[in-house]
Amino acid sequence: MTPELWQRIEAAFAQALELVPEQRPPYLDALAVRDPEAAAQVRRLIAADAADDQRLRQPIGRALETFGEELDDPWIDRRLGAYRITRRIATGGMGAVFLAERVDAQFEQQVAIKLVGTQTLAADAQARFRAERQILAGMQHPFIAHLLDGGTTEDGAAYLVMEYVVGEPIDAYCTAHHLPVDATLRLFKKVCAAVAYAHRNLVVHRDLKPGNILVDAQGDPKLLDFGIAKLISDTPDTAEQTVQRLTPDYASPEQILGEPVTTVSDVYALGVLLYKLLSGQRPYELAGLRPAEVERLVVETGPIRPSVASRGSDAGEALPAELDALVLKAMNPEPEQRYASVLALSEDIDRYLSGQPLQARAGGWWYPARKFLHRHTAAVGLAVTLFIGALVAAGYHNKTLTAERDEARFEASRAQAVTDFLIDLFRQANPNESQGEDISAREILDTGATQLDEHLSDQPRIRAELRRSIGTVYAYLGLYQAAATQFRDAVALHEDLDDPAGLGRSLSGLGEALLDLGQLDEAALIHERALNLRRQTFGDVSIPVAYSLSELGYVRFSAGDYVASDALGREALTILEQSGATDDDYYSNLLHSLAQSLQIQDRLTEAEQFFRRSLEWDLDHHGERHTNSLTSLHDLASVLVQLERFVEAEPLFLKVAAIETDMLGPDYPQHNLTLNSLGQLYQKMERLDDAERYLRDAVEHARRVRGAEHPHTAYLIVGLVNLLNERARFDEAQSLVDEALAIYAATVPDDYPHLATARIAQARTLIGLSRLPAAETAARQALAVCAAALPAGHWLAERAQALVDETVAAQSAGAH
Amino acid sequence: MPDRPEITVLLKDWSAGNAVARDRLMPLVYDELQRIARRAMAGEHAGHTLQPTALVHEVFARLIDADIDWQDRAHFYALCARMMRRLLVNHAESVRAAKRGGDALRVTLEGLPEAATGSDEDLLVIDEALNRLAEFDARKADLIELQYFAGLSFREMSAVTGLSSSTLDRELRLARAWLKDTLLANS
Repeated sequence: MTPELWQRIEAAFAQALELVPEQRPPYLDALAVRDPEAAAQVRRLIAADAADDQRLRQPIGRALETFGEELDDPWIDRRLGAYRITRRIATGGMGAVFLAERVDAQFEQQVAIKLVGTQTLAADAQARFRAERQILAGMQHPFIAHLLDGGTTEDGAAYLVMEYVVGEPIDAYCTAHHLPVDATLRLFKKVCAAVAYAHRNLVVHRDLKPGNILVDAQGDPKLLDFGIAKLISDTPDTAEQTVQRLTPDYASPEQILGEPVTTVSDVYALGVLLYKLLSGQRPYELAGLRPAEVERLVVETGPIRPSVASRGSDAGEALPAELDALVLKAMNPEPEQRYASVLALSEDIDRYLSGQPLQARAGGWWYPARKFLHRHTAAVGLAVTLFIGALVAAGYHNKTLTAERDEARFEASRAQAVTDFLIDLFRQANPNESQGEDISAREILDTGATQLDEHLSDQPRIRAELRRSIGTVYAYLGLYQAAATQFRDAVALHEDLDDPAGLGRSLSGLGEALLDLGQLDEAALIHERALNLRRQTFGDVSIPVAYSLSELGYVRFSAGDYVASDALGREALTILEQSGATDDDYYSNLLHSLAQSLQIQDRLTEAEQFFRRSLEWDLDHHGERHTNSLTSLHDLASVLVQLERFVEAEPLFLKVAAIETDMLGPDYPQHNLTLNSLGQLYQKMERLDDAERYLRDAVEHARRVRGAEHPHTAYLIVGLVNLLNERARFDEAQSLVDEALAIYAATVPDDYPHLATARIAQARTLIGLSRLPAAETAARQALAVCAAALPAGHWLAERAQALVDETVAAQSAGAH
Repeated sequence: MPDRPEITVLLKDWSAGNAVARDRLMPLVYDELQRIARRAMAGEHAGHTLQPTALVHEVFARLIDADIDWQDRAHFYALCARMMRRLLVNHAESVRAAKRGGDALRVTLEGLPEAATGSDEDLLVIDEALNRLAEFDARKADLIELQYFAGLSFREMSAVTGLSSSTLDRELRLARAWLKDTLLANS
């Protein structure tokens, strides 16, 4: 506003006000011709003049009121211990929070004081309060707001003095800063570090939620109120009270149900938090629900997967489905099926960030291959094909089990039902509705799963079969939780139908899914149930019984119980042989599993025998050019290397390499592992030229297929560096090891175990180049990685220590 | 605290154009306002809300000799209004700052209501708008302060400022209209 314009406005405003209201518009119109700038303003000012002045009066009045109330507040200026209360921050039924400062003011320190309850604590409650407080005060972590002090007021109310944190709640922070997924995960890992620290000190937070986790100006989180929930209420609440007191969205089912709260209750809350941070949504809307409703929603219904939930928000980046498994594992309603610790959750995030397979989806040896498949665009089409195949196959088993009289009729209705169902699904997945984006198999499956009951309400048998089929495809896609739900439904339907054969198959599918979810105990129980059922239905020596035995064996194997696993596997093998069912791939897979189990137990000669039997069977039934045969060849060769029978191993590896290229194409991702195996074999055989050729090929292959920035590529490069070190070609080794370290720096966390291997290789190179101080640094870095990532006394740590000693000794020798 | 005559001298000096005198007066008035407000809210008056008019008149009565001329009186009330405004703005700002860090501290206490943040924020918006008005028409901003922060009546304002009632009315209406329009545009 220029003074000149303001003067013109002032004059025109005064003139307009002297006119009667009807005369003002023509006056302003005339003014608009002369002085449009002033006229526009005067029009608005005339309009504002007519309005009352509440907009001015009210806020000033209210400000005076709150100012007065504060002056009236008996707590303001009151002293508690070494602190003087300066301001009330909040008030509630159970207490109040104040801002305060140190009385002695040796240094300026603002603190928050939480007054816990306004009533006097009983003597024993006071003692407990003091004891808990001391534990909390002992916690010192950069990401945890420190409990500084506490006590009781003259009137006996307890109070806590806490570090006063200025920051933004973590969810608001992530939204405001448009934090990408990876950065969100790294921030979340810091939260995990703080919670894990508290757990090591036997303190459970019990009330983790965004409002309790502030992010400061440096982007670091600060966790507030550790253990305060327990401190405040040491008497068990009723479920009703708990729901009132806790924020139900973040409270675990066991907390809501008033059951014992443990460290995995915090894992649950962290899962919900991560769900919120990644998807921008809360998994449930629980506000106002009664406990029973909350329970039904949380325990029985379960949340929408975060990747689906995030589509509704403006979260920007599409959320990888892998993170679904991670988040949902953390927030599993059953405590024992969550990550066993916050550390385990954090480690799985590391795996995600470094592109490794997640524990959340592990349990099956085939997961890494599947993960690779997911990266390929063809995967969606493949999944759809599989899905249709599964649907069509759904009726297949029934033929043998249904009375012939009903068979024809059933088959006809089944075919029609499946066709109608499929057409309907694809019609709904109309690309017009998904606006040109690819429809994922997931979406089709999800729709199918939800609509099955409605469409086939009068045909429970077909419904059961389709449920199991959908479960199978979910499992194939790695969506084990969804798969388990489908299998459970199928089990229930089969139970009602009194269909033991179908029930056995659905139980078997459920057991597999549970194993993939890492729920080993439950998986074992389900397989045992299937085993007993099949024994009763088919007799002890029957193929279904053999299947159950081997499935149970695999669960035992996964649990590390190799003795039980081997016994079950051998029993299954015998039954298959007695039943004459040795012509199915299943038989060879069983041989192969037994061989792997023996290899892990270091029973190498027995392992060799089983690998040979499996290989022989594969060659008989499939010939050389089959992935099963290749796997058997490769694994047999690796056992021979362990047995130091290099000359026998060599032709096997060479054969695998040749067939892989020929049959699976030059880009088969596992091919570089075969090349690497060959390179290492030749290195052991001291055929260093050959070794170098294969190791270089392996690196080149990985660069092309996995990418030059992939940690797997870095891993293979380090292998080549070790060889070049052995050949004393340190200049070449140096540029390669620098490359590998740069890849790791960009892709994996600082405590990635293979970093130790890389640093050791680097130290050797630098020793070779006589750069002893740098070599010592590298060796010490290796040692640091070992300390952070590996158990104490690991051989890598010993090797790193030896290199530190060697470089130190060499330097002091050089100095003399 | 300096005694009354000294404060009156400071006020006269300021009226005569001595800015240093004004700067010395400001904290004295600020503290006195706060002190009187506190006393007004204390025990025997409990339940009362603060009345700016009463506060400002009491400050005047306590600090200033009654027999000063009208220019000095005008200066003093302007200063009181300004200090009253500053007192409330400082309070609102510190409440806002405390909340920023303190929000999360309410957590484990059952049923803590969201504190009414509205009035503090609104007051700061008004303060900001008044600052803008003062940039191109300081006198009108002063009049607004006198009316709303010192709570003076129209007649008192006329007496204190020496403006004719028609001039005062015209100026106040324009200032209010501009503020109302600005606040509306901001909301």
